[in-house]
Amino acid sequence: MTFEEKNLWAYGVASLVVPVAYFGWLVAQAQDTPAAEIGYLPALLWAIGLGIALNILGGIVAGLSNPAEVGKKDQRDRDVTRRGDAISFYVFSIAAAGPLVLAMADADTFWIANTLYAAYALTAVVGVAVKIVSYRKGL
Amino acid sequence: MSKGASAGKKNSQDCEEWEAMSRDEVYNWIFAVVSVIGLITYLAILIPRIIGTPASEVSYVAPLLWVFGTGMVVGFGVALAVRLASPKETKVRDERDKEIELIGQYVGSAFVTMGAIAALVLSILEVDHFWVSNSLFVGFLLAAVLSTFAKAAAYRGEYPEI
Repeated sequence: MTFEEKNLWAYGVASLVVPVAYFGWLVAQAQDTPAAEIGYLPALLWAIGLGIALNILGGIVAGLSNPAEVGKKDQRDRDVTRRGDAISFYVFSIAAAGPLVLAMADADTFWIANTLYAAYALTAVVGVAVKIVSYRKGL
Repeated sequence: MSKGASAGKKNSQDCEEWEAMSRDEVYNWIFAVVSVIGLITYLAILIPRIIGTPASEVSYVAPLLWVFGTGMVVGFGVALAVRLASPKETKVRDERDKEIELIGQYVGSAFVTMGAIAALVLSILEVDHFWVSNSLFVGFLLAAVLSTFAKAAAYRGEYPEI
């Protein structure tokens, strides 16, 4: 596994675990509280911060496990990154239309903020999945 | 079969200047022009409306949908017409087209992402929805304008390898 691929796994785990935990918590809250009254903001900010922190930490761990490889990219790493980023761009552009429609329809801020976060989370997971599959199965 | 081939040949003689441009470059120019007109039109409608009026009272949804819808229909309509009219040999995408496509994607995703981050911050701050919608939509428009212009420049000059 190249440094890029290890880094990717770390990013993948962080970008899957954090949103799943957040949305799990949110659904649990929504069981007995109306959506507009849920105090989601501190949890959302924690989820965003934790996602970034875990991503950096994952990169450090991936780097420490084989310091000689850090920052080395071969042609395959580049091709995989390009394909993953291209698909991520289209996924995010389409997913971001959801919050735009909600904002135009004057939906509650709760829905706009959470669909935006969901768009990021979805894009991260799809991007990592495409890249990992590309590494494993070839381009 | 032979009829189609001769028609294609005639067509390529008619528009010789196209031979210097790949089909992707022609498409890119179409989208560049459409997105610039879209951005200017939208801002020209919106800026007079927001001056002196509270954001919550500005009606922006109709212009937004019109600019988006018209831009899509015109952009893809003209691109389709070019596709149907252009000779077959220009339809091949080469390595250069693909590399330049990547430049457009990176520039575009930067602006879509910035618009979305701004929208997230604005919605968390409970700012009027006018600003949330427009940071997303103007982010999209800027992404379209700047990515097509970056690609147009890349086609005509040096470009960095991504």
